Amino acid sequence: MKKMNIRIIAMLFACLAFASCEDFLEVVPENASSIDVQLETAQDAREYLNGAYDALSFGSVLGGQYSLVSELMSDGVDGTGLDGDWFAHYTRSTDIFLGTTRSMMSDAYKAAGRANNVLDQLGSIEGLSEAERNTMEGEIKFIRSIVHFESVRFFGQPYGFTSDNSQLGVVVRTSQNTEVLNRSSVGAVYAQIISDLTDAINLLPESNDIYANAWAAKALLAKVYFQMNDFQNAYDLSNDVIMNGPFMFDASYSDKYGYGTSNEIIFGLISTQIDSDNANGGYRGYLRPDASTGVPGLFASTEYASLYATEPSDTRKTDWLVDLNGQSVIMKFAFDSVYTNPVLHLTELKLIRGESATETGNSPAGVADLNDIRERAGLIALSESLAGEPLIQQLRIERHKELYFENNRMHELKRQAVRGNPSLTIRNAPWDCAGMVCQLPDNELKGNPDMEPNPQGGCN
Amino acid sequence: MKSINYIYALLILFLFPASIFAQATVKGIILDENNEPAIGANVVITGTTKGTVTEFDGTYEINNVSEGEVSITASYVGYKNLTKTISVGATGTFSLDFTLGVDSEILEEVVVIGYGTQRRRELVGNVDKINSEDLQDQLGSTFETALQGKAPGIQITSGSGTAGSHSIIRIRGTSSVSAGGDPLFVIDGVPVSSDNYILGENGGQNNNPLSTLNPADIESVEVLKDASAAAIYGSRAANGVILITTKRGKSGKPTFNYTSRFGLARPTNIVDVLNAEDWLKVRQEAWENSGNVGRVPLPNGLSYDDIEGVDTDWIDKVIRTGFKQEHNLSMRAGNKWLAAYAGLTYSNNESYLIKNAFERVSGRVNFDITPTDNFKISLSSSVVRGTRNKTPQAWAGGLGWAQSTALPIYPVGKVDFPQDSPQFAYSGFYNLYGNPVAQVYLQRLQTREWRYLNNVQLSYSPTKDLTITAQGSYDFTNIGDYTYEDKIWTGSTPISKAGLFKIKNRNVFATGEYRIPMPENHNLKVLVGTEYQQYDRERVFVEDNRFAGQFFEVQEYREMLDSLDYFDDEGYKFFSLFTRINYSYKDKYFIQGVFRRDASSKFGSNNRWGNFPSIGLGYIISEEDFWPEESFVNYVKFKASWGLTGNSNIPWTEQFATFAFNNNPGTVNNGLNYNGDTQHQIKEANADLKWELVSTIDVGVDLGLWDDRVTTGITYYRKITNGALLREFLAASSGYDELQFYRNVGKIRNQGVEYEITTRNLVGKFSWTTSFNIAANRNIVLDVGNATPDALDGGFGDTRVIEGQPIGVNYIVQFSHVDPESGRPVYLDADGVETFEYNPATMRVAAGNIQPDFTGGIRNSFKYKNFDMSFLFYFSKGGTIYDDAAKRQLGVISEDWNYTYDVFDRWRQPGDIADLPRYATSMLEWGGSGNIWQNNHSLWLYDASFARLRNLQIGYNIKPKEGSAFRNIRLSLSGNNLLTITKYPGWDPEIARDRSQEQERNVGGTNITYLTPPQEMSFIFGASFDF
Repeated sequence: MKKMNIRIIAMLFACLAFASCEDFLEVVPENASSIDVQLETAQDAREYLNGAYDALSFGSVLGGQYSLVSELMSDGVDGTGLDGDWFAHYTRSTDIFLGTTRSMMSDAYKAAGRANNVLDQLGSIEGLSEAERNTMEGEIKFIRSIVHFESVRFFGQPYGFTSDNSQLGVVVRTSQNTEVLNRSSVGAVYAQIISDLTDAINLLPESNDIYANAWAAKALLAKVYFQMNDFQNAYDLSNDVIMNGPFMFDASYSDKYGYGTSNEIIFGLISTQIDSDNANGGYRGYLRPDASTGVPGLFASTEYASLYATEPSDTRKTDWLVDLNGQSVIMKFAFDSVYTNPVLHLTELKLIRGESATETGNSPAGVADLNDIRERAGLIALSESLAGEPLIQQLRIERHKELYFENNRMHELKRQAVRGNPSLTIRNAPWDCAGMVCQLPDNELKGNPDMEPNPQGGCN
Repeated sequence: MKSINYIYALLILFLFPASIFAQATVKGIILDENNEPAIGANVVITGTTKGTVTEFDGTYEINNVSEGEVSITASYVGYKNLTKTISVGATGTFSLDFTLGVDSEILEEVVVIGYGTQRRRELVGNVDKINSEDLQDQLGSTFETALQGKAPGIQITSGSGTAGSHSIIRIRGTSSVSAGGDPLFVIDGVPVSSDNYILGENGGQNNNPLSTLNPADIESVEVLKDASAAAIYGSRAANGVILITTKRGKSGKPTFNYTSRFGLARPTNIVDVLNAEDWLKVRQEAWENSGNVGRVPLPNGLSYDDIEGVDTDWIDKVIRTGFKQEHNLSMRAGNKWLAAYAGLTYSNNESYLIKNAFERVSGRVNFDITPTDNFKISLSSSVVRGTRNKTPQAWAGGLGWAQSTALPIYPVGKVDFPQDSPQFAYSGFYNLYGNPVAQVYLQRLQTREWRYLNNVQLSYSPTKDLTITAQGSYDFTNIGDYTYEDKIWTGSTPISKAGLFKIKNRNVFATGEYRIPMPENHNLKVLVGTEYQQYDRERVFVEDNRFAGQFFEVQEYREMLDSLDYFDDEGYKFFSLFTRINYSYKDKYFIQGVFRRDASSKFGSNNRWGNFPSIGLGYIISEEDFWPEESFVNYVKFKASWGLTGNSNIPWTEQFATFAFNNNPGTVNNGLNYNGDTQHQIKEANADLKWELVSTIDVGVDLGLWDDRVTTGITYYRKITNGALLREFLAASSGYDELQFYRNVGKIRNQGVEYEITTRNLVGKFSWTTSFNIAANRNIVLDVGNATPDALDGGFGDTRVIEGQPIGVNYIVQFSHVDPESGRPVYLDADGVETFEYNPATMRVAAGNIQPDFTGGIRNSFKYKNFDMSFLFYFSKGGTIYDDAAKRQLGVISEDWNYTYDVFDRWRQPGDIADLPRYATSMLEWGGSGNIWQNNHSLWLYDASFARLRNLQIGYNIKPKEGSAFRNIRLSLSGNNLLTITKYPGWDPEIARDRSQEQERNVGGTNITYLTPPQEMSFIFGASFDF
């Protein structure tokens, strides 16, 4: 102590005599720096992008809540015993104070922010070849497209809700800074997504390790067009991926819900088991019957279970639903500790292509895709003469069954309503009632007095 | 040449008579009012420095006194100076004795003011002093609650009855929103570390850094309230400064004190929750209201057979009568060159919660060494070990669970095991995580803290008018927060967790104080100083599952803890220059100017230095010649001051852009590393960040009436916080990890009046003194920049900071009434129109306020012969309490909570006028937010006014006979919080809720409850022996 005090006194005198206090007074935390120092090399850029993919895999984003909320707000989950945030989603009465929507908003945009950080610095990063630079730019635009697409689907009324899509969407972020931005219209958000994905398709190579490649960008854009009911574009892109991509239709519908056994995955959040990473797929935790309480947090709804009533030979029913005291435990996903989260896969692309083909008058193509999926599930092939509305209904049933708990159902019902069923109801509520859209969370609103919240209510 | 001759003549005059010619000696004895020797009293020849100090027997001797009429002055701390004159011959010994009278003249009281002391007469700032005897009326773990009600404008909200809990202290209102609102604590000149959040909210409670200060060692506490007094502490003084002075030795033969105190603790109040029968009745009604038939199903798959005969009173299970004890031995001694104080204290304070106790072992030695008359070395050193066995509270368990998730239909345990065995607690739980009894056996929480506070002060006076002082101090805290969870609790392996911290707080300062020679009647004193403070905190967190059922008693576990590498967790530095100039004329006009300049590592690079000036004026008009001697007003002093003080209580990393690297231990990382290493930016830099600046004006008058039988004072103050630090937000869609950042954009005003009066109603054999104080503060937020109400929140409980409102308004939907037709709640929209709709996004208004209109205290003290008695009432009027748990205890009738008996005031059939809506099993039927936890509105708002009998004490002093070993024996009996008067239906209207950060404490720390434990009622017996 004595020594220290002498040192301090000496420093003080130095400070007084030479006015060098500025340095002397610095106390810099270990993790303080500036972005141009921190994001300097190709390796740094890669690690930043890893950080962006990491954010996408969070339980609040693709790793969980998207899937949960989409089923809770539509018709996928048994509502008995729900409370807290889940109950608010289930009753379509979300307000600004929900933990689920806070993290859905903030964590998704972390992925966009981290990606945009790299984009802002891309010109000055050392040691990147032109090709590497293009690949990274493509990945960045792909990542932020996922963020914008999913956010606008949860927090805004669907594409087609108004004829000019002027209804409020979400904030569009194309650069990482503290600028205060307001919500863009849904139309503007989709325009940005299409522009970004079109760029990404051109910039990305066909193969890119575990990261997004050109096929992933095409598959996502197909999905976007399908959500917009733009069937020609949806067909062209999905057909391109299916015909020209390296992906193989799995022999079993369950192969992709595990670890490393599938050839279908076009873009997934992959567990490489480097550094004990694990793209966990957080939603599975709520479904597990082997949780510590011995009872899952969520059960399948009767609406979903009854899908299998007309054709009981469907092997998906016995593989994916197991009865526990009269409630259906959802066994669709493997409960292995290491898991790859399939975000875009061939089955979904076939469903997009099949329905888009049918919508554009190419029924035989629609039947072919439908039967591929049916036959894999142990069902008989339907007649090749099936066409039009009945075929579409069959494809939609398969979509409902196959994409259960894959962030499909609520968005799909809204798409169907826009497509031509304005009186459609989603579990007894109008598809376009205010509460069918998640209210913006307070963490999105509180920094900006001009940020407009969504209307609430009207669903009950 | 002429001037030299003059000097010569002076020298001869002054030196020769004393040193050569005079041979006489004056000696005598100095006694106090009881004819006891006054040990260490000063005796000087009036007008000179020639004199001495009395010995142990009170005698003195002055040699070489010159012949003639000599006047001699005796002075003794706490007594009036007495001057006597004696005719001294050329040689021989002359006797002169003194009997001193007690000095009731408060003007001469010495007050500690920071880097020095002043007589109260000289004070121009607003300083309240609380002496040690006033800190002894409670037996608790922490000193600050004893300040409550004893001085105006110091609003103390006592911590809960949990052992070691901390109070919230706000001096003259809340002047900060996002930066810390607590005063600066300075112990013996050392600004000490006092971080309430170091251990977060583990177990639902914060740590109390003041609990490792032993109240028995405190001599006095001074509270610097206005800018004139506090500006000497510059950028850290805006919330006031609390100066704590520890006891020091006195010259004289050693005196000892031994005190033992024993006490019992109970909660001030118990609010019953439903018993099994009533709970089932309420559930059944809600079930049927939902259109169901038959008996309501029981939770967790229980059958009615299972719960046959079960009716657990969980509150009773977690509450006990706590036993408290404190034993203190202290010694004071001193002679001419050494004075010493030594104190040793052991205390163990059990609260009324099972397993909850705070134990403190404390030792202190203070030495003052005076090798020569003009040189002094002061050493102060204390070591304290505090051990806090925590019982979780509020949301984390304990009494919180006992009134919420622990249902009366759950048994404590099915099988009879010994009460103390884990099996007893565990066996047969239906809901382990809701069981507060099982919890205390299966989840152990303990905090162990070592605190060392050491300082050395050197003070040298080369001349009578110049004093140079240097002090170095080392305030070291080693704190460990340990958790052990049994395998039954975790459901898999047992877990031992530890959060370990080392806080190194070093401080050095040097001052020079010079009394500039001035013409008669003028007095000018200048203090200059410089100070440096360096604060470093290191920490490590560890979690281990190898130490089943043994915890840290195990050598192996402790070795593992010892081997851990700590890493830097927090650090900052302050460097300061300061000066204080005091000028007075004729001891009745006073001017004080203070200027401090602070630089800190916490400030952004664009704002390195802050300047903090103040000026104060004092005028004692009653000392003027024209003041009528015979007036009943014997003393009048006017005071006025203005000054700037700062608040730099902001996180140390705020000014930097920060980054996360997943491969770097200790940085933020979400647990998943995508394909190897990841990096990302957490937030942007903030180079403009600086202290908030509080501008205070203060005007007041102090009066003494009827020869100080009545002393009173009134003060008006106005405090404006400019550049108040507000935690603003980026939108979630900005993509940063850290969305909040601080900006100096707010403006807050506190203004108020403080009044105090002390009357000595009766004097003499039976004496009666009344002290009363009251303070009214009006707080308003004048500017919040761009912040929306939700950006400036007070955590759970929905308090907010809104422009034009006081800090901490409840920003909630207004509940109007229960619709008599449907039994549904009727709300008011933002325009006051009745509606069934509930939408917080558009309907919320400022509906309540955590700030009281006024607070104060009244104390009466009586003395008759050897008996004494006193009682203190504390009161707080105005403001509201928001009960954040009421939405569950009185809201939706779900199967997982219990309810208070007020739940029966519900609507049952059309036409009913009821307080509460119709019972419902879901929020959808109840009619409000979709989320049961967000059912926040003004129905849960209550009047916060209360008055409570804070302390009642009866004492008896046994005066031992001559020759006894004891000088005095005192027996006392006291009670705390014996009576509370309030309309609030909850547990306790005085609420200091534990929080996770400063803004929540400022905006929602008081008057927001979520199952917060009540204060304790305690009964204490004490015996004190002086020998």
